[in-house]
Amino acid sequence: MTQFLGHFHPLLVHLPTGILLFAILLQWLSRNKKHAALQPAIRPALFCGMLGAVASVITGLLLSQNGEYAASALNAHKWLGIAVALTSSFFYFWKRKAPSNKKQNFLAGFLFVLLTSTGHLGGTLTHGEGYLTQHLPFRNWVGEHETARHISDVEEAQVYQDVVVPVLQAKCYVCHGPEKQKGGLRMDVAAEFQKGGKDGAVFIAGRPEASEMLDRISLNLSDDDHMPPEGKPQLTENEIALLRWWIATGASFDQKIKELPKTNEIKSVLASLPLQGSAEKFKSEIPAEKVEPAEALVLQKLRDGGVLVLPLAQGSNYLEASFINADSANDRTIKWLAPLAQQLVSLNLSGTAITDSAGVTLAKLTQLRKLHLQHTGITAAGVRQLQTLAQLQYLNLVGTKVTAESIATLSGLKNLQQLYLYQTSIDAAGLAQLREVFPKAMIEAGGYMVATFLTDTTEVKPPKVP
Amino acid sequence: MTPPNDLFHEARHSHARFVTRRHFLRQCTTGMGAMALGSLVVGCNLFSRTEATADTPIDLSNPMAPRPPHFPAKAKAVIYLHMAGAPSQLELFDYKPELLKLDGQDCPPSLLEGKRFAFIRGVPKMLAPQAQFRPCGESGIFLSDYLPHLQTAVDEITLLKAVTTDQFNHAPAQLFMHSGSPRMGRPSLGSWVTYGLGSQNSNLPGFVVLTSGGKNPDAGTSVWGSGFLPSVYQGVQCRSVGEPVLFLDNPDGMNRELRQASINAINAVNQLEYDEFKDPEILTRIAQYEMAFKMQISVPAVMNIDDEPEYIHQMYGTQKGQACFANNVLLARKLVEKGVRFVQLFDWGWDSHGTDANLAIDIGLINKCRQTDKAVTALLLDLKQRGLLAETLVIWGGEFGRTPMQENRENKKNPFKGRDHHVECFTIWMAGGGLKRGYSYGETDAIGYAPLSGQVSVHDVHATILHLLGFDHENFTYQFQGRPFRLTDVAGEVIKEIIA
Repeated sequence: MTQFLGHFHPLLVHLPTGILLFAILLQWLSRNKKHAALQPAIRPALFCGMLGAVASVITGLLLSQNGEYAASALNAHKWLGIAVALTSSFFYFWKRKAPSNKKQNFLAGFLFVLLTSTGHLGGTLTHGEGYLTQHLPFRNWVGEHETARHISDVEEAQVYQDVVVPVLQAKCYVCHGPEKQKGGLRMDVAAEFQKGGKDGAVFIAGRPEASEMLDRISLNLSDDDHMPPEGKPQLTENEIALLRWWIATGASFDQKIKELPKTNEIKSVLASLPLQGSAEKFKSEIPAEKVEPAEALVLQKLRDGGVLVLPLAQGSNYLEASFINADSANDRTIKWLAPLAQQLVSLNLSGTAITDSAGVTLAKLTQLRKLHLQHTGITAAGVRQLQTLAQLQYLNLVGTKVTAESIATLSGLKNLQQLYLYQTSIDAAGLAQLREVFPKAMIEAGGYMVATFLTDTTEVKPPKVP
Repeated sequence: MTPPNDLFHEARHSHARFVTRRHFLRQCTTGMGAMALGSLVVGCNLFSRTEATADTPIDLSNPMAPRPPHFPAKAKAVIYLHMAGAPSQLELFDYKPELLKLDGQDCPPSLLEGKRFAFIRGVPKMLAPQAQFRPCGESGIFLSDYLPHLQTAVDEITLLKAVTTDQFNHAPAQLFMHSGSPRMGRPSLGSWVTYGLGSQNSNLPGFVVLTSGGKNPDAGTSVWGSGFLPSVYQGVQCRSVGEPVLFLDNPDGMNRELRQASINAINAVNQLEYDEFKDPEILTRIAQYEMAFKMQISVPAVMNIDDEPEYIHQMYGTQKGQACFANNVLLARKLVEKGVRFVQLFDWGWDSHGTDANLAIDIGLINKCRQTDKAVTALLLDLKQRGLLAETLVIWGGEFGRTPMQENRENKKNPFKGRDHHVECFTIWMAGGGLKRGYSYGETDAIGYAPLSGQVSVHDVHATILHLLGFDHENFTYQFQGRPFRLTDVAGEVIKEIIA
C-alpha cells in the first residue's frame, strides 16, 4: 500500500509547484495598484498549493521507503520539500490574518527559491545528473567538457574501465547509479556491482548463461522484467556482445584487453570502438582556420597551363591542384603554385618532369595535407626540402629515387600518416629505420605478389554421366 | 565565370528550352488557356527551389569540366565490379554451419508463406553450403575456400552482409543496383558521379564500362545509361581486345589531318547554329566531337596493357590478347591512375541455378571464382601499394542474393546443385576510399534467409557511395519534369558504421 501511494508522488508534485508559483505571481503582481484586484485570489491559491504540498510530502516520504534512491541525493530534496510545505502553510495562515502585509513579498520570494530548488533536485533524481544541461548550446563555454573517453589502443585498454563502464554509464547508471539504486542495485561502484541487488548477484563471472543481467537484457522488450525498461535507451547488439564477453572471460575489473581471450566476433566488435586514432584521421580534411580566396589571376594562369585547380569542396577557399592534364609541367611551371601557399592543401604532381629544384617551391606550400610525387624526378635532395610541410598527412613517393636517410629527415612531420615507397630502392633495413622514425604512420613498401595456384588456371569438370 | 555571365548563360539556357519545337507543340496541344495560365503562374513562382541548378552549374561548352563536391571527398574514383547473375553469398561470404544440419530437409512452410520466388515452386529442400569457410586475416572474418586469394586480403575490405533489394529478376535488379530504380530511364551511378564531379582527365571519358564473361548484363546498356542527364554523362563501353571503342577509328582513306579538318568544319557550322538558336544540346554535341577526336589518340594508349611489367601481369593473372575479366581489372587500375572517375566492370556467369554444370554452385561457381579471385585480390593490393586505395572506392557485388533452399525449377529436381534468386539478404563488399578495413557489418539469421541486424537497402549503399565521394545524396539533384530528381529518390541513409 505504501508503494502504491508512493508512486503518486511524481504525479502530485506538479500540482503544488504550479499552484504555488501562480500564488507567488499573484502576490508579486498585486504590489501594483493596477492589479490590486487580484489580492483576494492569493489566499485560495495558497490554500490549494498548501494542500498539494502536504500531499506531495506524504507520498514522497512513502516513495523514499523503497530504498531505491541514494540517501545523500535524496536528503536535500526531502528536507527542501518539507520546507516548501511548511512555508506555504505559514504563508496561508498569515494571509488569513493580514491580507495585505508588505513583508509577505519577501516570504513569496523565499518560497520561490525553495520551490525551484526542490523541483530541480527532484528532476535530477528522476532523470539523472546533468539531464537539464546536456543539450545546452555551447556547454563547453560554461566549463563542462566532453567526458567521453577515447581509447587510443584497443589492446592496451582496460576491459572494465574503458569498455564495460562506458556501456553501463550510457544505459544503466541512471537507475542503478549514485542517485538511484532501483532494486537495491548500484552498478557504478565495483564492490556494489559485484554484490548485486536485493535478489542477489546480477552476474556470475565466467558464466554468462547464468547471469541475471544478461538474461534481463535479452528478454523481449515487452516483457516486464526486460532491462532497460521499455522507453529507455536500449543496449545495442555490440554492447550486449561486449558485456557477454566480459562476463564469459571472468568479469575482470583490472585486466587489459590483450590479456583476455577473444573470439572473432568480439574482435570485430572491439575494432568498432571509438578509437582516438581513427577519430583524428580525417579531422583536418579542411583546415579549421578561415582563409582568403586565392587570386583569380593566379588561378587563371594555372588553368591556362592545363593545371586542374579546384576548391576542396563547394564554398571552400582551400584548393587542390592536379597536374594530371599537364604532364609536361616542369620545375619552372611549379613556381606558379607559390602564391597559393595559404590555400593549397592537396597537390598531385604524379608523372610530371619535376626534379629536386621544385623542392624550393614545394617547401613554401606549408598547408599541404596530401602530396603526390610518384613517378617524378624527385630524389633525396628534394625530399629533404619537405621538412617545412608540418601539416602533411599523405606522401606518395612511389617510383622515385629517394633514400631512407632523406625521408628520415622529415621526422618533424608529426601529422604524417601514410607514406608510400613502392618501387623505390629502399631496402628492408631502410624501412625498419623509417618505421622507427614514424611510429604512427602506415609505411607501404608494396611489392605484393598474388601466388598462382594450380586451381587458378584449371576448371572443375562436371562428373561424367555414364 | 563572373556572375553577370552566369546570369546570361542561365537566361539563354531557359530561353533555349522555350523555343524547341517539342516545347512549342506541347504548348499548342494543351491549348491557349494553358499558355495563358502558364505565363501567369511563372510570375508567381516564388517558392521554386533553384538550388538544383545553382548547385552544379554545368558549363555546356565543357560538360566534363571538373567540379568540387559538397564537402571534401574521401574517394576520388570508383571501380565497381559487378558480378552479373548474382553470386551466392552462402558459398562465398555468409557462413551458415546450421544449414549443414538441415541439408536435404523440406523447407519449413513459414519461409514460403506469402513469398514469391523466380523459379522455386512447391516445397524446396534446404541446401547446405558447398564451400568450406575459415577465419582469415587479423580481422578473423570468415571467407570461403572458393576465394583463396581474397582470403589473404580480407583485412582490406568491408563486408555488408545484410543488403536487401526488392527485385528478383536480373534486369530490374541490375537497373535498381545501378540507377536506384528498377525501371529504365534513370541515370546510372557512374553518370551521376561524372555529372557531379566531371572528369579529371580531359583526354579520357569520365565513365568507362568494361564487360566480360561472354554476355552483357541482362538490363542492357541502360545500366550505364545517362537517363535524363545530358547524354554526355553516359558510360563509354571499351573493349580490351581489338578496337578499344567501337566506331572510334578513322575509316579507310581518312587520315588524322583530314579528320581534324572535318571535325573543325562541322563544329564551326554547329557553332553558327548555336549562335542563332542557343540550343544547349548543340554545345554538348560540339564537346563530344572534340572529345572523340582526342580519344582516338588517348584511348588506345591507355587501353593497352602490354606496357605493364611481366610481374604485374602475373599478379593479376591476365591472358594476353584475350578478352577476360583479369585484363579488364588491370585496365581499371590503369584508368583510375589516369584520372578516370568511374570504371564499371560487368562479369557475366554467376547465375548459379543448377540447371547445367556451368550454373552449378559446386562446379560453375567455383570456376567463376577461379577466373576472378586472383585479379580482384591483385587489384586491391596493387592499388594499396601505389597509394591509390586511400582515394579509390572498390565495390564488389551482384544484383541480389541466392536462397538457402535448393532450386526446384517448376517443382522438379534440377540436374545440378543450385540456388534461386533471393532478395531478402545478400553480401557485397567495398574497400578503400575512407572505409573501415577488415570489417563486417550486418548479420543474417542462422540459415542466411533474412537479415537480423545491420540491414541496408540498395539506396543506403548508394547514399554511402555518394557520401564517400563528397556528396550529400539528399541535395545532389537534377531538375527534370518539374521536380528535382535524386539517385536515392526519397530514400537512403549513409551507412555510418562502415566509414572509418
